[in-house]
Amino acid sequence: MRFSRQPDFRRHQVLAVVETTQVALVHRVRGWRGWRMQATEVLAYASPEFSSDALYRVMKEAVARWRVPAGAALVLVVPPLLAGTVCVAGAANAGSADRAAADGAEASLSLPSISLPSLPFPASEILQVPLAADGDAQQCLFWLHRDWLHEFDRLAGQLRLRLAEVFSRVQCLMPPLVAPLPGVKLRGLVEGEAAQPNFHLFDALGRPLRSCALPAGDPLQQARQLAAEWLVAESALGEPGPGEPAAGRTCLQRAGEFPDLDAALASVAADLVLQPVVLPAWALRLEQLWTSRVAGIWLEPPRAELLRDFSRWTVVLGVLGLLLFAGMLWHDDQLVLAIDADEQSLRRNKPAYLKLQEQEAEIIKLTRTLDGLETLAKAPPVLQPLAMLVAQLPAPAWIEHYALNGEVLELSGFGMDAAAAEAMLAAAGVKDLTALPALPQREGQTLAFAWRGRWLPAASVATPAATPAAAPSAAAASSGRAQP
Amino acid sequence: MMQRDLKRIYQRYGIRPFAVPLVAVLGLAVLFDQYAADYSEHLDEATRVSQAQALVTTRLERRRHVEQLQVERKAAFEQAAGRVFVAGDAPQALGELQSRVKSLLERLYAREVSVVPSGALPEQSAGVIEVEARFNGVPQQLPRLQQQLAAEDKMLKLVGIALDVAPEGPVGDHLLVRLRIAAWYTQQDLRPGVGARTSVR
Repeated sequence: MRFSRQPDFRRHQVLAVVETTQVALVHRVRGWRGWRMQATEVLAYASPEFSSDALYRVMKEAVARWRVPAGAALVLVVPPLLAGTVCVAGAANAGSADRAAADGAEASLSLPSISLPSLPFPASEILQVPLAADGDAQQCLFWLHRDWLHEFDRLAGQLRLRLAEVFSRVQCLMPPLVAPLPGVKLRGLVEGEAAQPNFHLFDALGRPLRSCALPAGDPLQQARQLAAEWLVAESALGEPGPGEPAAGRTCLQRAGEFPDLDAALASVAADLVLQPVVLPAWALRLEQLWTSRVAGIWLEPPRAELLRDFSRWTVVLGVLGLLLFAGMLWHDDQLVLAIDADEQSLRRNKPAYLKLQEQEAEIIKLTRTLDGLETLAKAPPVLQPLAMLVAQLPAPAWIEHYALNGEVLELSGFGMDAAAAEAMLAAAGVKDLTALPALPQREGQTLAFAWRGRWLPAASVATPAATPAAAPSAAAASSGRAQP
Repeated sequence: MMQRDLKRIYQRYGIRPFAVPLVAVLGLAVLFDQYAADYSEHLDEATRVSQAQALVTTRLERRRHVEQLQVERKAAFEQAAGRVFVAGDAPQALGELQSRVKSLLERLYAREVSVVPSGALPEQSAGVIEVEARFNGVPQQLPRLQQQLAAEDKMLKLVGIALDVAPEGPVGDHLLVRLRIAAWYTQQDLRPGVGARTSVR
């Protein structure tokens, strides 16, 4: 199965903004990292009426210089002078109008059910597309006469390009390309060439309400028309609602320098002042327009190869999915077989394994007993330190109390002061000595001692002392030797 | 460009060109979903059984070594079995230890003998049991006591002692003695050949 390779012309685009005296061109090329702007150029031309021939003369050199392959897309943005916008109320079937526009030149145009009295041509002679296809009660349409479309198509043919889409100039000024002003319910914008500026009106959401070209040449006429348009729009806006501030509801802006228009406007309507505003560069706006979801009017039929690829990819996806599914089923069978085999093996080995577990458990118990006995046997003899201490006890001292539990040794007695007893215990290897709070009491005895310390068998081994067997006798001798 | 082409295809032909791939993808998703749970379960089961099988095989390979070790430990235990208190449970062994210590002290003519359990009982089938013995005696009884303990067939270990000279009477003649004597207890069925559950061979 072969898939159509993306032809070279699909990787080039020429975007053009047509104005009265100039055309701005952008060349876009798609590389490995997506589309990028390859070149931009503004070409001046003088044509009292727009004609494809005049445009061809200025554009052919740039297209040739940029080596745009034949068949590349040509996208045009046309001024309000060539294409109109009209707002109709209750255009509920905007979708059908959109689809009619999408059907191209050869498709029959189906107009909205309402009449469009503002259109200067019969509906069959124009192509239209909603400017903001959001199903609003007020629908603004961009329309273009078929003659102009064929003229642009002819221009594209002369340039060996194909006409991809035609946009209205106002579409370059709509959201998301130009954000609406917060709080402003009506915005007017003057832009374009100083000799023949364009005037656009937008609502609070930035949707176009009106787009027109002001009269060419005469600034006074331009100012009068602008003032009239603005007055009508302001009247339609109505009075401010209760609690709504009047200031800031409207905003009149100009993008660019229009000194003559400014002066004329001051004389026609002194309260109208054009606020300057800076719009993004044309090249950037064009690129954003092309990559946005804004739709223009287009002639080109859908790409047949794309549809073919669609079908082929569907087949490939289906086959791959089925293969994957078959692989999963096969592996599932293998897993079931492996589980059965392992379970049989486990069942076979179970008696031997249980016996082994019992043996290991018995070994653990036996080992614990043997180790416990050994540990018990190695416990230090508790009478050994007593024998050592009795051997070192000076006369007439004697022991009243002796205890050894674990490492804790306690010794108290009479006939010897505490310091001497401490020294004796330390010499016997008793560590960490602390004096017991209560001394032994016995009538007639003034010298007494009571100590607690830690006796470590290893330390005492190094000390020469009596054997453990001799300790009890030595203790007995000590206890019986001294008299109070 | 592609996005615009797709949009135009949708505008021209509607959902139809997209429906076939969509149906194919959804169909495959449903198909996979139908069997994915079983497949995943079998994957887990196979892993679990395989690991169990590997564990059993590895341990059975050590069977000869375990048997040899068991023989060695049993032989060692047979030699030491006479020195431990073998009983059905720890309290029974502790009772035996108590009576044996009491009898021993009485043989030494110790007076006012009392023997009580000391320390915690072992929770497992083997462990240390301990009693505390109190009696009145004379110093000369201590070495004899030590000799008697050493002469016992069971291992009786003196692990703690407290000697106090009696307040009454001549000093040195009477001692108040407290002893902690420990021994080893092993549950009866552990001893080879004794008890009902000894046939582990």
